[in-house]
Amino acid sequence: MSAPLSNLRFPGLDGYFYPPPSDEYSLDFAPVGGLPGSDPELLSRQLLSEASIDAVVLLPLTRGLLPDVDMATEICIGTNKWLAEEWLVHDTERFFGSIRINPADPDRAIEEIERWADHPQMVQVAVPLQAHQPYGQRRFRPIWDCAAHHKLPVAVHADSLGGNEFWPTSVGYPIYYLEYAAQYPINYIVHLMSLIAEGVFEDLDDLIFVFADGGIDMLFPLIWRIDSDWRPLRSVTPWVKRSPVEYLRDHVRFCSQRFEGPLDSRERPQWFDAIDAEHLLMYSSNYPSVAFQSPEAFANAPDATRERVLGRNAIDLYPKLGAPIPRG
Amino acid sequence: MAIRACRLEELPPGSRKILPAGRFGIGVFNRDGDLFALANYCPHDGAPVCLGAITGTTESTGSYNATWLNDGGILRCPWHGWEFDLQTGKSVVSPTKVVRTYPVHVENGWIVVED
Amino acid sequence: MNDILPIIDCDVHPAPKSPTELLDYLPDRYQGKLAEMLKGWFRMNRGTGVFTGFGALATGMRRDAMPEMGPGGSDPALMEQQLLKDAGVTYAILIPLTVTGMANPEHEAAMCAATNAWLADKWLGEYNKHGRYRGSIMVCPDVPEAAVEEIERWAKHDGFVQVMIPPMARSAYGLPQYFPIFEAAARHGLPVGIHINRTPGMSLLSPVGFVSYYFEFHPQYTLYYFPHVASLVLSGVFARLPDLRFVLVEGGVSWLTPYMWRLDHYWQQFGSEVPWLDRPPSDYIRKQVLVTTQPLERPKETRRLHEYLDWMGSEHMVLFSTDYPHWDYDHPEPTLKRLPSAVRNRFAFENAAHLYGFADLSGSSASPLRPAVVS
Repeated sequence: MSAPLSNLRFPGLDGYFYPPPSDEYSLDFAPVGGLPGSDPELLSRQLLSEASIDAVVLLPLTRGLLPDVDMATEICIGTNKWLAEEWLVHDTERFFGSIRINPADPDRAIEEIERWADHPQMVQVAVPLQAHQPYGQRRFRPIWDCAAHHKLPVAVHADSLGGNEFWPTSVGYPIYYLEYAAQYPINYIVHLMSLIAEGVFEDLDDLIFVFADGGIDMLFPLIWRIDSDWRPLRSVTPWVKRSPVEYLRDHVRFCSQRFEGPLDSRERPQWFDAIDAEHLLMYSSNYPSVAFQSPEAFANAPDATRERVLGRNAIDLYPKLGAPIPRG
Repeated sequence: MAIRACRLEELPPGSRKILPAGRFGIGVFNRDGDLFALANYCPHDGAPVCLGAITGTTESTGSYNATWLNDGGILRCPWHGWEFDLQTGKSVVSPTKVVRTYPVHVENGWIVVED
Repeated sequence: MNDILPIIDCDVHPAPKSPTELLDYLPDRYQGKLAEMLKGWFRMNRGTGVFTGFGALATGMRRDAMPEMGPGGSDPALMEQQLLKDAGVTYAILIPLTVTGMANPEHEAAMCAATNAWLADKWLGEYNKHGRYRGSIMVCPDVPEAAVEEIERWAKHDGFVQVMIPPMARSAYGLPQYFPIFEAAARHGLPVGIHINRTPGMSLLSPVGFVSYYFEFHPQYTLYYFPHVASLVLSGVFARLPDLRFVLVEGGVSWLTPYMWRLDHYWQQFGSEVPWLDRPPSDYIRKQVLVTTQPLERPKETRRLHEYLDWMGSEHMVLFSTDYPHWDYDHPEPTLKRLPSAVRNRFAFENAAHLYGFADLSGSSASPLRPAVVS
């Protein structure tokens, strides 16, 4: 970060309004004397070697919706430089990254995208799940235009709750950590509805949103209802030329989460079919969270599904990943 | 089978009549002198579609752009508001869903519907 | 489908004939200055209460359900014809939408009291000679004492079968200030239903901002129910009141499947914070939460819906509803056809008969399932 903003205080890493009753990040993923997920060497060993993962897309978090727009942008700028210089250099074949931008600052967000779009390891743009307006609304459009132009997907992931966020549910504040954590990621559906309703997906063929906190479990019950509501009301938003469910395969992806879907693993093959996992789901470890999910979670998925979820969907989405490196 | 609906003067432009014919009734409409006849049955859920509003519809060339067209040529189902083209019976939002239409003509001053 | 099936419709909306009809029922204790204020306010808003900025199609009603005079749902003869005869409904659970969210909770409580007295007199009395209507006791959760009073006042009246609250509360319903309401309901064997009312302002705010269009807003009804369900389970309300039943009206059905799984997963990992739960959240939900069918989800392949219902263990959890006379009304015949045959009877009437205390309906003279031909 540059001065003068680098001289001001901003929320720390764990600025959570809801303290988890136990660790949220696993100490198993921390180097001696360091924070979980802070050591590229350790990550490399734990994910690439031990978990047999071929490539990782790193998504650093920022600090939520900060009141000072320039501060939030400066944090993004600093995060991107730090990611490139401390992490991406560590493994140019298998480490990939996300370009953090501040949606509240469209001009400089576009500058940031332009700055990193051609970096061989930056594969997507990333924005917080938190927002004051749903992402389909018009002020954000130039940003998505730019991302689509560069064929960069946009990943959405919750930051720490330290900024000027609205309440986490439609009815105020949950009391318990688990009450909050179970519900908060579902708010992606408002962004999704908005991107459809305001014609963003209709206009931008190349735009793909990745909901990195998951939520594919809640998707179909909600999208079916949105579909039923769209049909009678088509004339109000005639630029929505397809039924909402038809935008999913071309414009939406979800990261897998351990805390979603049936608890009984025998149900999982049928579940993967129900959620169109083959087309919509991408494996994510959530390293270094306690919600870490190993690729083994897809062991009993049908072969075609497993192949797509564990790798092919990501390779198709992020061309810079190239072909998977054969394991020696 | 030819059904005599009514005398032409009984169905002035802008008006409609529901005939107790066919399985669910047949709605006859006069749009500016053009006559249309549709089954009073919506392909969505079986609503009495001919009781719906006569209106127009919208088309778009991009986000936030909506033009109004076919004013008076769209029948909106009274239940879920699906838009149907009065002439073809086709749903605007789901063109494979169609309200059954009947040929209609005027003969010796009578409006006649062919079932 | 040629079955003649009894149908209990768990979401029907009667309306007063005129804006001020309701105000005549304001109990004495609310008369005087308050009555004058409310009458003036109704006159100003033309009896519609405050509208939100999201406009439904036309008046929000089925166009063919509008009587000659008065709003949709205000004509008992028309409702009898269209709902009990044409649609083949045997019993209807009435949920008045006369109370909008008001800034002053005392005013809202007053409107609830007026509504209950009006419903008892008209729709459970004068218009209920056929005995096929049952009603809901409207209460304002933000005045818990008045809410408990209303419950006590109407609990013994045979016509009232549940308590009804809006989802737009100032916080989720697990919070301790609401407990006396649920305790009173459970004590009287009355389920508590939640149904949307029209509250403008912050209630419309989603956690990521205000949406633009009605077709984005309408599905948000479901989003109100997520936090209430989580709260009632995790704060231990269901645990403390094992006889309490909650009915989530008009919020959809299949979301409960993944939502129960979600709560179970998070409870397994982080449940040390809620040691008063001795069973997984899904256990409480399966026993104590019910949902009404309208608007029933319509995936292209109906078997997808059946998958969710099956995973849910939904046999005792679902109640058929039409939402008459609203525009998104679910007609019984096409809707019941879409349900798995194994649970069709349960959803059509058995679950509701059990929940609302109807006598055994099998063999009763029910109206035919298919609607009469329009003539």
